[in-house]
Amino acid sequence: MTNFLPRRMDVDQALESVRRRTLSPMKEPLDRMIYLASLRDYNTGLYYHAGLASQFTSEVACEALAACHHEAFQQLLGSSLPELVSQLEAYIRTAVCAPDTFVATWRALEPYRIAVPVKTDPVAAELLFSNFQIALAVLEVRQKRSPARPPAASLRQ
Amino acid sequence: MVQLIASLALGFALLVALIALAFWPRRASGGGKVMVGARRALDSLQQELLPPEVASRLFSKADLDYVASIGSAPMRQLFLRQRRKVALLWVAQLKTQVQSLRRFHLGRARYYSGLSLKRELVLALRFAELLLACRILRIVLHLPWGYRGGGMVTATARIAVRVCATSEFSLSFLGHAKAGPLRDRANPHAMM
Repeated sequence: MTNFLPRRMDVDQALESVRRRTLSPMKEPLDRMIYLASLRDYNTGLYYHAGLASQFTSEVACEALAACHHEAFQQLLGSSLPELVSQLEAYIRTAVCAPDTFVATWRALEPYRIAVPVKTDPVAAELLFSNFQIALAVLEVRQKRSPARPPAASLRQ
Repeated sequence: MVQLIASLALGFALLVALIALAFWPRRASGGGKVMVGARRALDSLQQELLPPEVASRLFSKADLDYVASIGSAPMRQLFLRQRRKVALLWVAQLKTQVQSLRRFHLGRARYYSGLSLKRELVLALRFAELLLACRILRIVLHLPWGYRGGGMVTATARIAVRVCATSEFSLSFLGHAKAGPLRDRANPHAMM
């Protein structure tokens, strides 16, 4: 018990630090979920963040990042379909590629499948994947109706 | 002759009793697994499958209206197909967890919890009701108007909540199963 309490406090402090410093510029749960997934080692399932690990310990950093990842996942799961479409549109605007390329690639590769936290409930994960598929289909329909390309994409052609 | 048959019968009965006793400890050690499985099933039901927001997200009318507003028939079909797929998965998961709980109640619960006979009978009826509801729900979800089965999902979830409440009492001595990223180090690939 005596070992557990300070550790829990460390994790809480690390959580606060991640939320306040790292995640505060990311307004949308989608951005946060993808960013946090990128901090996870695919082989071990553990999260790494050099700054946070040096401030606390790698275990505390890992636990805090995992909690934030789960939180972002739950928030994204709670988003309605229009909200998810809007978040995807905002995410596409930050990506360095044409929107139609982005949508086609995401529909083919389904990268969101590896962006969910470990030990996610299968039904919750499948609901989110399903929402992604629908949201991407919505974006594709919209793109077909008004095929507009951003300037960056036009320059490359 | 009669005495010989009686002796042989007695010998056979003793042999059967010995074999049963030899296997008894193995069954007892398996009981722990059943209990932990039941605890996990209960936690999964209470924390993941039964919260009302799961059903409301699955059968959200706002989402359906949004997709309908796009005015694309294939889009609407995709939406309904996707929702049906997830709803069927929800029913399958619910059924699996409920069966795990039922196994525990059939085999071990009476040794560890003081359930009265009346309570056990009520619980058995609820298990039967719940499994029947799962079967009906599976059929309803395959129908063209299955998306309107949201009310039935809520009703099924309500029965499951009642079953969980009774099971919670039986499994209270085990505490809650806890999982975190650091505890998963032994099996990091156990994604879902």
